[in-house]
Amino acid sequence: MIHLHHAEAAHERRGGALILALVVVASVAGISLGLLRITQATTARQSHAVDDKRAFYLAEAGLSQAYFGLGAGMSGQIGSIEAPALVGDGLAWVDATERADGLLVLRSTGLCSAGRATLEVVVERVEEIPGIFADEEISIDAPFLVDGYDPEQPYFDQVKGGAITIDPAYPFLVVDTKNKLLFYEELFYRYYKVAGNNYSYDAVLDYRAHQLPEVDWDDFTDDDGFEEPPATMIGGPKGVQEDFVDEEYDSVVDYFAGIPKVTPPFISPKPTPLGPTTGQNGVLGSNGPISLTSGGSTLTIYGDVTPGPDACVSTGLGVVITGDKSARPAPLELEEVKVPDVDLLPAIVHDSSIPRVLPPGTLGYEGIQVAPGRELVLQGPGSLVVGQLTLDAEALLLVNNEGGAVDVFVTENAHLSQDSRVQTQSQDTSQLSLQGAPSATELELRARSDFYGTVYAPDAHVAVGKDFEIFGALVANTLALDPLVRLHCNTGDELGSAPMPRVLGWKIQEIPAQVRQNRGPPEQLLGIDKSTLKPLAEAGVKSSWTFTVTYTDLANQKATYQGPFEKFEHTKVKFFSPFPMPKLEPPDDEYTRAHGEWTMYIKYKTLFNIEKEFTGTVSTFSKSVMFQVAFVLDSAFYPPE
Amino acid sequence: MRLSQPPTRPSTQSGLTLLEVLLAVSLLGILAYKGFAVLDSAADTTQASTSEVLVEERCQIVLERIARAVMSSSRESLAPAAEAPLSTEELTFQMHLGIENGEVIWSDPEKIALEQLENEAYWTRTPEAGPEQRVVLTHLVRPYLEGELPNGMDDNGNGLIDEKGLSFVVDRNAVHIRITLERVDGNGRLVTRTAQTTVTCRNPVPEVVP
Repeated sequence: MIHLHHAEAAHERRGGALILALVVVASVAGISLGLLRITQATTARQSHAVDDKRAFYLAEAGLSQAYFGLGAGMSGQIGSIEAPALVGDGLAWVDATERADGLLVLRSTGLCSAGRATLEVVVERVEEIPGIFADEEISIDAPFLVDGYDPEQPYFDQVKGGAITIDPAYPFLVVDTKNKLLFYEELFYRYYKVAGNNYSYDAVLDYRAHQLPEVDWDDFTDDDGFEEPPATMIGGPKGVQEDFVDEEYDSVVDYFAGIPKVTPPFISPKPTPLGPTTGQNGVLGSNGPISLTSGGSTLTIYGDVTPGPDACVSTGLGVVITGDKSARPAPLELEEVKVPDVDLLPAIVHDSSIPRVLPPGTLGYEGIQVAPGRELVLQGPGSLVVGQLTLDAEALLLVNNEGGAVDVFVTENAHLSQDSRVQTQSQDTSQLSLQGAPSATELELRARSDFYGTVYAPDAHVAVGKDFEIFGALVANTLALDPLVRLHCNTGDELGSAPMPRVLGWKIQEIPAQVRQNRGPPEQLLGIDKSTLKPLAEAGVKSSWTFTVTYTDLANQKATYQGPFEKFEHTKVKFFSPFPMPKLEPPDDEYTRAHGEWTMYIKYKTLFNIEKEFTGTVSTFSKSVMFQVAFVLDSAFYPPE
Repeated sequence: MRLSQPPTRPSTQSGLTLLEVLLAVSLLGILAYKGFAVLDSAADTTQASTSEVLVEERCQIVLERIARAVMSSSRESLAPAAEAPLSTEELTFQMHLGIENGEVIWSDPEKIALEQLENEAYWTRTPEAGPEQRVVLTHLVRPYLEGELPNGMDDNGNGLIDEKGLSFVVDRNAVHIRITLERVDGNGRLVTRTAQTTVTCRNPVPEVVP
């Protein structure tokens, strides 16, 4: 009994220790678990925060790719939720949707581990100002020059041949051997100036003297201090016409008469005939027909001439167009000029020997007249609204736009007389615009000028004189050009490039429902194989062919369509009307040119109710199949691989 | 019967001496004390670490929310626009909501600011019709940015003078945002965290294009 008693007591003690140990272990385990959960939750939150940030950056990368793709002929669409693009270790896709008002919505979603982000930008496609353009018919009977140039480089650096040299036999002349043109010393200076060498006139002469040290230049200086070529140097083996040179040289001397020292910048007399050219990329366009005759001389348009829809280009003898003459598929909608809202001060007549300087900012006058020989300075950045702008003979309008853009808005008319001058300090054409308000009637631009900027007057008549040389763009309602006008477009410098669209708005958007709830790995969530996906740079969808067609719909109504080819609803077509002919235009896209065109599948019925199918390129369809189609049963379109 | 009965040991032989018990209790006491000390230290460390993490996390969250609001605005809508070495503890902005009829629709003016007395960073919006809406982003904001004293000098060497615990500096299209959060943890220690970022306003200034 005593043994039993002891044994039971010992057993009870062992049990107590066990329970105590279990309680302690359980407590410790509980605490540990709690801490572990807290740590896990914290880590997860931090990890999610990092993932969200990464997803945000992926979405931004997608947006950026889509936006800049628009400038290269892409549609803005990159991948899709079914086949997103690979970016880093995440995925992204961009949906491009065209709104009813023509704006394009780019919505980019980025997925990275548990992170999700969706961003949206709304952009407005910007149609490039097509070089020299008139809303109404263009009819010009005069020799003039239209070409284009890359605004990234000075115009004269892009002149064809560029072989501008000094011939020791004719040191007064700068000879463009390619174009067989002659330049006087002043033009030589000018050439160097626009090439980015900010030399003074004297410095250029010194440079030439250094190059030709054997020539004693003083021997050729006349009483006025200007060089005069001896008669023996005129004519000769280069075929320079003596009369021509004499006459032109005299005009140069006359121009500088009374000016003892020329300091840059100054405006040169224009070389005649039309002078050097880049020989390409000019654009002369209209919403109406274009009629060009050369006034008995020769006229070459170095680039495209683009009449309005259903209009044509008619040319006279001696007119050469080096580029395309196709009509526009649709009229170019010209944006209305928005004049800054500013109170107009009374009209002023500047007739003081002290230059009048209009400071930066927005200013308005009912009228500005610069008297003969007087100088008006527009200081940028700023906007000037003026009712009537008049430059009298020998008056100077100096636009100091190196510090900021200058925009001049004319609300009534502008008269820049033939002997006046307009100087622009900057060669950046985005830094100067001369705009005609809707109320403006006429801009008469006959001043002597190297005008680097845009003349935009879609509601006014614009007349350009031979000394008003434009580097940039010109848009008018009606256009008149004097003989020998030189116009250089800074557009169309690279085929296949489209102007960058304008961003109107950016915002963070709701994440698509398909990926919002589940925070699992993106590829599992979307059920895709990552190895089949394209990288972001290659996942863009090309712009479609533009389809222009008139057809009869199922309700026997005539209808027209112009837009992306794949968005045309073929099932609405009863049959295509033969006139005007349907037209398919490829996207202006280097990728498409390199890789081929869209292919299509179409199942249709012919006029004789025979069911047919076609699979092939859209151009083949356009040329041979389209006219057999009476009723479309099914269709599909595939971009080039 | 008596011979076969085994001799019984005195009951004291199966127990412990008082000395043994005292020794055991002392040892256990020491062990328990050390154990508690270790646990206490671990708990302190955990608490401190948790506090730091929480303050850091809150700091990042608040900064991110402010940054995204600024990104969604346009430079023109920012006010006041202080440039270094000045800064402001509040920023009013308008967010892009959408586009209708070719016009950008902007939100009512919104403001993110510091209530210095309450150590609060808050967002507020006053619609044209209706009461003011206000959300407190955090109530841990330090009156002045970490290392800064209100003495007219740049104490922390960041190029700003007397910047507050939430500060904005506008530099052209970019906004520099700095924030310092501070809290007292369970052990009475001060936990301070500072974060900063620079973001650009993603919405463009409307331009007049011919």
